[in-house]
Amino acid sequence: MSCHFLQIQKQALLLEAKDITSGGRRRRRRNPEEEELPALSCNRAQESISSGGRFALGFIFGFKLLGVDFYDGLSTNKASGSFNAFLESTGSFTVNEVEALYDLFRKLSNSIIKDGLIHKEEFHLALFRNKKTNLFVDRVFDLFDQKGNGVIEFDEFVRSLSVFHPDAPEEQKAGFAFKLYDLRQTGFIERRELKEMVLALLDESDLNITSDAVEMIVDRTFDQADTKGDERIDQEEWNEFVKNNPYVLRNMTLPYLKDLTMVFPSFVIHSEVSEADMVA
Amino acid sequence: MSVTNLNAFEIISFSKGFDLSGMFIVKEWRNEARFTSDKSASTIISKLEDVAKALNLRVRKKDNGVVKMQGRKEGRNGVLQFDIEIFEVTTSYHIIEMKQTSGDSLEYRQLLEEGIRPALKDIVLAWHGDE
Repeated sequence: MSCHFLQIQKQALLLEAKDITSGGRRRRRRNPEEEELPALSCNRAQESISSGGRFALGFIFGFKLLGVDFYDGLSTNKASGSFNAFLESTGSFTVNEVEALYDLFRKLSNSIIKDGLIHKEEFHLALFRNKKTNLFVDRVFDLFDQKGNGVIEFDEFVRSLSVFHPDAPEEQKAGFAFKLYDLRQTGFIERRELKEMVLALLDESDLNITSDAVEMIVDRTFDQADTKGDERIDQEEWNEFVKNNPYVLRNMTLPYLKDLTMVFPSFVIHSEVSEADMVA
Repeated sequence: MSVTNLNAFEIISFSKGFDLSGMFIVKEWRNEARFTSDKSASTIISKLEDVAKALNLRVRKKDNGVVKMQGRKEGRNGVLQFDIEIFEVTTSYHIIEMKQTSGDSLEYRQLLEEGIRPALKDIVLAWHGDE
């Protein structure tokens, strides 16, 4: 087994699974004074096959094998702690949950085009079981596609989904929703954008309301939110509006994310390492 | 039973396009259901009350406009309980959500498919998730 691939830092640090949910299931660190993010230990990987190293290897090699260039930087030695940095950035997920998400990602990203990346049609298919276009799915897809390269990669997938976790902070959810609704990405939500979205929803539900009724609904809401009266809702007005109308963010929470390993019990069974094993 | 008024952003939030749960769970396994209706709130409410009576469910109103329905007998996993909430888009367009809160999931889905859905046929425009 080649050490070169894993050798990121000069000193051997330990791979550690960090659970940063509010559940606070922190694990013991072997070196408590080492506050820095651990990278992968070459020695550990070679010796302790039955524990975290094997998982870490499988994780990395699995990614590489599937052509997902997840650890770009590993080979250049600059990504010290990149794996843990990734876990940190994913917000509320544990290692097992990330693994479960990876299995889901693999299924979705190979459903139409077998390249390990989620294309727009694959995203539609995952949500709708058909490839019908929908304004809202398009917006969600574009936000997931943080790099803007037309596909959703695994890190984008996990990071975006973490916003929908029940434990994710409200500010994060509000920020995501604001960007969602800012259809033309001007940094503001305009009245006509709100109207466009309401019409899209009504169209999706096959519901006929008079245009007067639509106007009334849109105006009433818009005027409530646009406290500065400048015909557009900025981030600050939005945050205030959301605070007063918490139901607005109801679509920003997926309760299933809290029990991911319950929803996909097969992932836990097949998981090579339990979280208890990850402690040194 | 009271009705929750929806603002425009709340209306939008009901879009299927925002419902990412389809990635995680198939429709058949969900313990929540939603349907739209073009009937008035009072029509919907009295229909729900009729259905509850026919299915021998106890009805309890909570403070926040949510109605709790409860089976009278202990099931496989305790008493079946679910919440119903009515949202108003306009006076002739409502969205009704039902969410199971306790009891056996399979029993709940059976009750929904065999008891509740057929009984509500007259007032339902469409069930969310049915294509």
